[in-house]
Amino acid sequence: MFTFTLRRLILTIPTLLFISFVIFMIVKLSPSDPTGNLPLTIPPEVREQIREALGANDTLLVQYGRWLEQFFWIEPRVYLERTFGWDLGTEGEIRLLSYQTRSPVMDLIMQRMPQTLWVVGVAYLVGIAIALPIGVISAYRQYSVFDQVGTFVSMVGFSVPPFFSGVVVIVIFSVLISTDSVFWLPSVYDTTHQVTDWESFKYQFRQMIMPVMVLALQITAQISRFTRASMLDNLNQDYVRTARAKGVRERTVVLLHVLRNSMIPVVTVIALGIPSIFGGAIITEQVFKVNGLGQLLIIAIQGGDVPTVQTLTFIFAILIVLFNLIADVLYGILDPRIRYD
Amino acid sequence: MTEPVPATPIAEPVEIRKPARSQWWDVWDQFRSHTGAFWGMVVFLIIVLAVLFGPFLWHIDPTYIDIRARNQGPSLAHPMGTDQLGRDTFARMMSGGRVSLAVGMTAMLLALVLGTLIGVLAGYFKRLDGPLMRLTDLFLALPLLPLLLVIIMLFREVLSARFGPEGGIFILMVSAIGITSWMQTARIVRGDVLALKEREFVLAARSIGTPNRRMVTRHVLPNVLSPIMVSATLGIATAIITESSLSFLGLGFPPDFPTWGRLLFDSVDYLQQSPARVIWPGMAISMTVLAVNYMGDGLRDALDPRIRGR
Repeated sequence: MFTFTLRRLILTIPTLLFISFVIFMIVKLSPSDPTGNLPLTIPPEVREQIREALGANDTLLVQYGRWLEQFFWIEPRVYLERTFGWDLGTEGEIRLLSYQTRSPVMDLIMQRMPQTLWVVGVAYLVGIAIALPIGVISAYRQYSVFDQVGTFVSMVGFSVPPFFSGVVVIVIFSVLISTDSVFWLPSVYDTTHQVTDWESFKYQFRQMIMPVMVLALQITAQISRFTRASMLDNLNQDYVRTARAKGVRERTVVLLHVLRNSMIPVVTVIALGIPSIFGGAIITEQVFKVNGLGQLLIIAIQGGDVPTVQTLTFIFAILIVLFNLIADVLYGILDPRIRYD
Repeated sequence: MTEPVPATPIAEPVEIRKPARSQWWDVWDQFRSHTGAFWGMVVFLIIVLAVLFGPFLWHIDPTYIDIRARNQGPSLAHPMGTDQLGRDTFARMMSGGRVSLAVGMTAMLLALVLGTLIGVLAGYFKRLDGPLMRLTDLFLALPLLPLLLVIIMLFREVLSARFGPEGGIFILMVSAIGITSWMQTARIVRGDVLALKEREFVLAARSIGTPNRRMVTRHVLPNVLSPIMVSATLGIATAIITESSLSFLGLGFPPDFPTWGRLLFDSVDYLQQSPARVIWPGMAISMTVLAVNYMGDGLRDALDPRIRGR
């Protein structure tokens, strides 16, 4: 197991390098100009100097190498210095700068990270908490009314895109319901809101309901289907019959024997779904105006901010590769039948 | 000795032989008995027909601006109301649906062709298996939505200049979605081809000297048709959702060229005045995708011989 994990970890390095190269090339080969958004009154020679200073005139390989150095060598050291107060000599080094704000890209990302993590993380937990019981009950009572309704709801969860479900809940809870009602919910997520007392906690709770539920609906749809299928596979196994035959209580059979075995693939699916949730959150963040990573990406794309776009996309790619690895390793740990060595 | 049996017809048990049926009739029967799939198909056909032939019956031009009739609710003259410029939402929904469905289907076809090609090549030719599957894994590790956004933002102007604003975005949209969604098909097809290769009929065909090209077209492809068909239906759904997400983020077709996603995006700004306006395009997207998903579900069951005929 250990050697497998190590081998996979080493294998991720070329994968990530390749992906970063692809992203870099897509962004760089496009005809976008870093000075395109500057005022037209800037004379061409000054414009050329700006381009020179941004390093946009070097050959592509030099630019790619510089980006790699900044991302993998300079930025981690800067953050190590900050957290531990060491001196690693990053004083004069050029950090990865955003074209738009002229501040380090990593700082921008760190500012946005908590909002995204908070909303997405809570949504994921809520989604799983709803999905597991639904999946278990629909499998145990296959073809019952509960199962049919569950199937329909998850089909709807699959089919209704978040930009529609989000807007619909806004229409219902923010527009149609009057603002002084208990059921009114704010449609804009206020990230500067501080939780200090009970009242502000209640407000925080209310503003989180809609984005979290919209994201959770999709997660629930996926995971409850998967749980159901996995439970059904296990319910027909011989060991279940044996357990029942020797007089184990039904509760124990279902919740201990079957559930534990069915959780193996579900856990890996949960791990695999985490990065795609960040992608889906781009739209949900846009609907509810959460200023998280997704919104940063959209702004950067619209502003032609190449370093930010590159870095953010690459971070999403790292998440995918990382959680793929985690899912593989988890599968090996949880299921003794699977041995990679 | 044996007397010849008299030729007089003994009342032969009248056997009404069913006409020869191909397996597709069985598939159709199974598909029909899946309620969700059947109604999904009905809804999908209605939507497709409405979008295709609606504009011939409904004569209001989707781009006609009648500023005095702006922001109206549903009425007889405008069954779905009008937008902020007084354009008829019903007409815009139909022309938007044409674009959305066209993008969805073309992108699905592209993804399908790519996925099948790569899947068959990887499964059939051992030498290509390693590299092609590594490529598939790499594509699966790409963050698709951010990448699609980047691609469309960066290349839209070049292509618009080349093929005109609508044509350019259409080509860009279809190729971007197609190139980023072939991986699942490729994996499924490869798996099936690998299993097929070990079967006796393939061995028999090979032993009579069938060349590779004909092996693939005659023996392999027809047998992997069912997973391809299932991923085709599901592919339409994802392509439509992707297209409308991109339009919703403001990175789709130009504003005067409506698609369902674009209509939804435009209506969000008028959420306070006319909340009903978001419902139409959103419903259209959701209904289409829901119908297609149910169809895919039913098709999967119908094409699985272990389930069919039970």
